[in-house]
Amino acid sequence: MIHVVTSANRHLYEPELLEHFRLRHEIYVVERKWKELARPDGFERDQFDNRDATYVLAIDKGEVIGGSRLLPTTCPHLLSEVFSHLAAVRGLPRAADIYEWTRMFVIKSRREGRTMGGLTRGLVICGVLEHCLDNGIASLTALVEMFWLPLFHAMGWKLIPLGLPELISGEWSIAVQMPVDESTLASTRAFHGIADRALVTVQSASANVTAA
Amino acid sequence: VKNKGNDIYAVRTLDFIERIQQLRKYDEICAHIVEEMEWFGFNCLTSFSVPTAEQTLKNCLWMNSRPQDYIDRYSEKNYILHDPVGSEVASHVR
Repeated sequence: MIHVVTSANRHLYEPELLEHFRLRHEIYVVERKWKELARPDGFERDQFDNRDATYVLAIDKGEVIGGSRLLPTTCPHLLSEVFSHLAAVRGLPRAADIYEWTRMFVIKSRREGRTMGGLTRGLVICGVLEHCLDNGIASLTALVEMFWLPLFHAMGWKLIPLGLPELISGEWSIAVQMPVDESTLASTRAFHGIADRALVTVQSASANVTAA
Repeated sequence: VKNKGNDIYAVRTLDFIERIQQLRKYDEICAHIVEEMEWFGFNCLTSFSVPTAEQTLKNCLWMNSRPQDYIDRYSEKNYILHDPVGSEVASHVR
């Protein structure tokens, strides 16, 4: 159900990826009114949607129902280029084993409550964690709206603030670093009642797709 | 408070959060919060959730370092209805 899409296998997912950009526009521009992301073509893509980006997509019977984006912090990313001042107090951590986590969404019909729970959201988060653990990613950085913090605490995550919160697009937001390990995955699975691995394994360009 | 690395208040705030994250016992956490707020010049601290119609303030107290008679009177007179801090918090409840 959860698929990881990189530059190595994106040719297998072009329609789903395009739909994911359309959903991002629908959610972030239309629903949440982040007008600076508006695009005349109706697809929300920014300068970081490039070959370095990794997408974690929730796909159910061919329908994209959620997603997320990971960016290597060794390359330009949102916190380094747009919101670097939000990490000024502690400094922005950048390393090969640190990725930036952005654009996590679940389509409206699959949401259960604004900030707590929801199976689709849980699967996307577990997919992100599984991908991190599979690929030696030790921590994530993110710009997080403060209303998410109770959810992360309830899931057993440790969030390390990198600066003080600021009001962005009407929501108090904070830059954080989030260490990722097996216990983070275990407590996140337990919180959402997920027993098994969420990720579908896709063997790069050989098109050997295996549901795990 | 400015969001800058050389701002002592910002650095102190994040140091405080890091120390709090290490603590596990309720009394230690409360004592540490009170101690930190004293550094900022606050000598009393009360933390409570916004009571619902069925709750009293006393049911909603998380921690308190004010004199007990202050809390008793505040609760008895239901001052939360007139407290600008309470109104501000209530306006942000989702």
